Amino acid sequence: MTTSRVHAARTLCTLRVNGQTHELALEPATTLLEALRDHLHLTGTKRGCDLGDCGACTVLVDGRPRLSCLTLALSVQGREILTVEGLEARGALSALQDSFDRLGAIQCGYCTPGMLMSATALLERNPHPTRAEIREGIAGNLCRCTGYQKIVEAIEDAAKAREDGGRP
Amino acid sequence: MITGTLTRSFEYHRPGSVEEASSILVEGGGRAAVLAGGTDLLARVKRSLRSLDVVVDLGGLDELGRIEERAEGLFVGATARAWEIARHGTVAACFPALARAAGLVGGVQIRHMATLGGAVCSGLRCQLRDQSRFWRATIGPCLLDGGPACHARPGAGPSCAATAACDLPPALAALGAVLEIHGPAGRRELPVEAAYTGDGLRPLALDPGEIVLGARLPWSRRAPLVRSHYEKLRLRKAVDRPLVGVALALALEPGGAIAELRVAACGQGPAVQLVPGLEPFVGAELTTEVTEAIGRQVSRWFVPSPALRIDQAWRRAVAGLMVRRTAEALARAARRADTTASPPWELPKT
Amino acid sequence: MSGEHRVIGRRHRKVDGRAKATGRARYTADLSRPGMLHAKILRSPYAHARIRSIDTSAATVLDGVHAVITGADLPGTYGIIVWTRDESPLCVGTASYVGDGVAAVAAETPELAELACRRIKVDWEPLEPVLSFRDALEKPDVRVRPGNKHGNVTKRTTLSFGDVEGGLAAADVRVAGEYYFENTNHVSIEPHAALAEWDAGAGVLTLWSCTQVPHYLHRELARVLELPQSRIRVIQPAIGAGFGGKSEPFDLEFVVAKLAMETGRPVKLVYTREEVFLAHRGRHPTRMRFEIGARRDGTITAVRARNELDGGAYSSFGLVTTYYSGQLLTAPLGLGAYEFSSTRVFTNKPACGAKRGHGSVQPRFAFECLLDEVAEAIGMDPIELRRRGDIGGFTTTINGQRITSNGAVRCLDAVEAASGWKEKFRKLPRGRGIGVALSMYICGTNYPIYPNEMPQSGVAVKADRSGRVTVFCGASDIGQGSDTALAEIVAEVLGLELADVSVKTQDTDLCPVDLGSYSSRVTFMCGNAAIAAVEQIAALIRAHVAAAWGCGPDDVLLDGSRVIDRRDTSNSKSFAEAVWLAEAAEKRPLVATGGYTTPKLGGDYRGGTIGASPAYSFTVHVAEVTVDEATGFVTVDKVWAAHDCGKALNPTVVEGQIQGSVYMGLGEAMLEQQGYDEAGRLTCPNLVDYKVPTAADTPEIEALIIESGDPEGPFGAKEAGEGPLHPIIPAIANAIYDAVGIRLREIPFHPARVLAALEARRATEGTR
Repeated sequence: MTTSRVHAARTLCTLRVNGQTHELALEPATTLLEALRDHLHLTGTKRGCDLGDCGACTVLVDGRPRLSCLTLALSVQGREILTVEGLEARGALSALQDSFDRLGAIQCGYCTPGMLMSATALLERNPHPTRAEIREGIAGNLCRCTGYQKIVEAIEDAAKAREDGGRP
Repeated sequence: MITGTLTRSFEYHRPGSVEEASSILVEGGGRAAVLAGGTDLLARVKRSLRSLDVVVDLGGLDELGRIEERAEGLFVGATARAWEIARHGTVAACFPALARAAGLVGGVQIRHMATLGGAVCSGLRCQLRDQSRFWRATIGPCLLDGGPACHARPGAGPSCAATAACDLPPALAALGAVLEIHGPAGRRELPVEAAYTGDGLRPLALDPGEIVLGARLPWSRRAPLVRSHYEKLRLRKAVDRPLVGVALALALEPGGAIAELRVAACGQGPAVQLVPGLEPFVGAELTTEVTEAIGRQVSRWFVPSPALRIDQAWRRAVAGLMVRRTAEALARAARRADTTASPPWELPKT
Repeated sequence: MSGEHRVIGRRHRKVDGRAKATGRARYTADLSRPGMLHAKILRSPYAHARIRSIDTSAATVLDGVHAVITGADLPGTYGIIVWTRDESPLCVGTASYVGDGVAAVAAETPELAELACRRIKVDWEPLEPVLSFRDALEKPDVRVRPGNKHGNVTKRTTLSFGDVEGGLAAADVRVAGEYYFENTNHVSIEPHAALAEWDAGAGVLTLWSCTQVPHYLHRELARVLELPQSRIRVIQPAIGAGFGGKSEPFDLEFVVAKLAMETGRPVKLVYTREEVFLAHRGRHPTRMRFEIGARRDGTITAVRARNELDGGAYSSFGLVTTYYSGQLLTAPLGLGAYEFSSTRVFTNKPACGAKRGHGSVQPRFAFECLLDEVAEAIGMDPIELRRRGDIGGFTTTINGQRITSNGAVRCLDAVEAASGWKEKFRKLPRGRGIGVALSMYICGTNYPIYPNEMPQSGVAVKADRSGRVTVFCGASDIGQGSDTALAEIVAEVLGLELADVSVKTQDTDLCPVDLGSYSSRVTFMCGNAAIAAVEQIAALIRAHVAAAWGCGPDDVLLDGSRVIDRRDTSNSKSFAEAVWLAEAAEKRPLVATGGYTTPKLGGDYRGGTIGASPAYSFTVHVAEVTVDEATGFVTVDKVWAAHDCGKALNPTVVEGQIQGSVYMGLGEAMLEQQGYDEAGRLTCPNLVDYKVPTAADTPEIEALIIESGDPEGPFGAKEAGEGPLHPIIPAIANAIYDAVGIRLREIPFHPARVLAALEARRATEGTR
């Protein structure tokens, strides 16, 4: 029997995602990306290369941006995982989501979830980034549609909105 | 059929002590691996470049994540992330080459994941091997996979041309850092440059079950006049690993003469090495002629790895230039007696 | 500008923006169906090899493997151009490039499917491969496509307009150069994905795919699967971009369909990133030899071009690409005489096809760089040269293309002012430079990919009794905003809010045919079809409301989701009430359809319709660069991009198209390279080795919208999605010349290449 993966032993695992606790039985080789998409059906987090080179799978783990395709789900048990599905608060877009939508930072939308997570982390640590700091802060997220221009402008706009007492 | 998913099944361990980690590694033999940041290991496993039965996650060992000032030097733990190293006040103040190297690692996500231990121990870069199983099947096994020759250097006998392509180790080596290692036989220390064998088939001078606990950067006896800087050559301004990484650490006499000079580099082959032949410059003033001579020495010595498909002559020429420019910038900074050198290429950003 | 319109010309949010901002938008890879299996394709390790036999038994016996198919199971051929259908989903007899599909497996998991693929035994007979343009011509005995009539030549065309020899002889200056445009990939962040479900009882196949061309896929599926087209339904979920990389059928779509039919279970396949590079269809690597003659006053007396296109293993769009490599160069600068000769060959590499700016990006690079040399030779400012040479609007080019609106000069004026050109050109300190280039592009083509007399775009509009209006159209929103454009047009005509309009563009069961998102045709063609449809609804509503109010139809104003009596604006009804009224009077639902067909266009010669478009867009870029002469690194500091889009239906969306185009061309200029080694293996099958620019590598891009108002465009609109890519590459090359005095004739402008050119120049200067 060569189909080791199909019948591989599973390990019980507790993941905290977007404030909710999920108990899963995972094979140890399961990445966080696979756990989110295939087990929790949170398909907002995207797979673009599966090798850590495109940033589409970026999520926040305890507030820090990480590549979920290069993270074992078992290694982030008990940590607070935030995905794009967790950015809205009671149906209201976050300031970044709103700026992205309003200012044309979203074209095909495939890089958007990862981009939003990197941008969220950026504004958490640096509420008033310069354009150069924004570009560096999202350099690990490839976008092929926008030329990054409107993404940079949207992040700048969201920083202002947060400053003006708007939503996080 | 080319997969990116983790096709292998393995046991996952998250030991509570270094001793436990070490013994699991010994038990697992060649099919056990340490998981730190995961950025290198998991990409390799996905490409079936490594067969794994056992993964030992060091994430539970809090003491390995620390950066702490000790009498004999600054200890940077093996699982300290590039992100923390780049922003640590003492690292920035006393070991700017390391701070800068850490700030230039990958993109933001990789900096939040990649660790010091991973940078020292992670796999070598080879564009003719770091590919999918499908791709490798089309070219046949390389030396590392039991083939007769290295695809990157087919005529050169049984030597692997893969190259260290990591930012932190050249900075650590130039700064005289020493690795603290735990193993079945107890603890030992090893200068960073001595951790590399130069043999791509067995690149690290670590024994089975040995785990790097961290690196210790010695305090300088000439503190205010020590300058250090790291530069990396890459095609993109972010994300890419270094084609060439050079670090330069320099101590100057009060009069301006060179008291100590250490230059380390990656990008030639499996080892992160100190540039030899710099002794004649000790005692000299850091004039333009001297910085040019240092750059020439690096260009003479630096032979870019053929495992990367980027023009070799260019890499060689620019490696020397990077060192020359870095030395010039450090000299300028020293003359101004600034506490930080002005970076000659681009501002470090985090 | 937007005074006359309430929706058109305003910066509305895109209709799909919120779903994409929240992660709720579902792409093909996000879908799953009950009992779904996963498929993988076994690919050829050889660039050229005959398959003696395939033994699938070791794969079939695996527990969890449900079906294994080979080329013998799917022998039909397909291809985007109906005259050159030369592909099979899986190789039949011979593999033509490293990565050509050979067999496929459906299994419980993707990992198991892959494992099963590895257990398939193929008995290969390696053949000599053809790996370069020269190889293709010099090894006529080695045939990449044995059925091809002319050795390895896919297509050869020479078209000549006017007296080229005479024009060159009459020139005051002649400049010539050989240029090379590298092979590049689209690198959509979403890899290709397809999911198929087979309803055996009804005999109906449903296929979900992130295709840009659902209609062509629909046709080719029927052909290869030998099903009536009426028993196939193609659905497009959200699409994670295309840029031409998803504008033809791919192996995976046929494979999942066949496997679903074999197993009776839904089957999904998502390409790995490496498979995206192997499927390719990117820019044709092209070697170009150009000669331009000009008079001292800047008049271009003649242009002669020789283009060599390396097409890879299959025809793909190649027939069209070969023509596009010459046909789209004849405006906005008038040419006294023009001749081009283009040859496309087959090689044993992944096929090249259409990438943003299909076919004409390469010759623009050569032409606009040489124009810079002309300007220098005659001592004229390069912007002035282009301004003087502009042929203006409502005219015909030398190759018989009808030009309508032309905003090229306004584009030149805009970038000249915005960039501070006059203060910078030839005046910046050494190491810094500025360059300009100009281009035009089509808004769709009057050449439907298969000959037919039906409309090129169809739209149906339904006004519901609720007041909600739904637009149905086969167009594919690949991120460019076509769904938003359709909603805006309908909302504008009916006086509705965007939120009152629903757009259904994802399903061949629901939507009238549109030919797809390629050739920058969607805004122009779907837009016009939508106007044709929705105006009928508006007319019905006006007529019946007017009858009820006892006024003329023109007295009925549609605004603010209401119908308003112009004579007495206090008299109004909701739009829903108006629909009730009209539906009651008509005794039928308010549904209308509209179509768009291009007028008869094109030159009266073979190939004269290729490149003929109902309208053309125009673009000018200025790039400012810094060159590090010691390392060869070029930094693009800023780009100003002016684009004549006719009318910006939504300026935010248009700016995004301009900026994205600049970015994609900039990546080609600076970094990107899909290379192959001596065995035909990809040297860059991943996103580390194939370098696309990050945000840190991308300069600020200032988009300047120029509105020439095309008389035939919807509300005057023309395209914005592809034209704005063309000038950036020559603009950067010309800026590098301004900075350090070297002419780069080969992309990408890697630092090693730049440094070598600088050193070569120093060497020649030294010997002088």
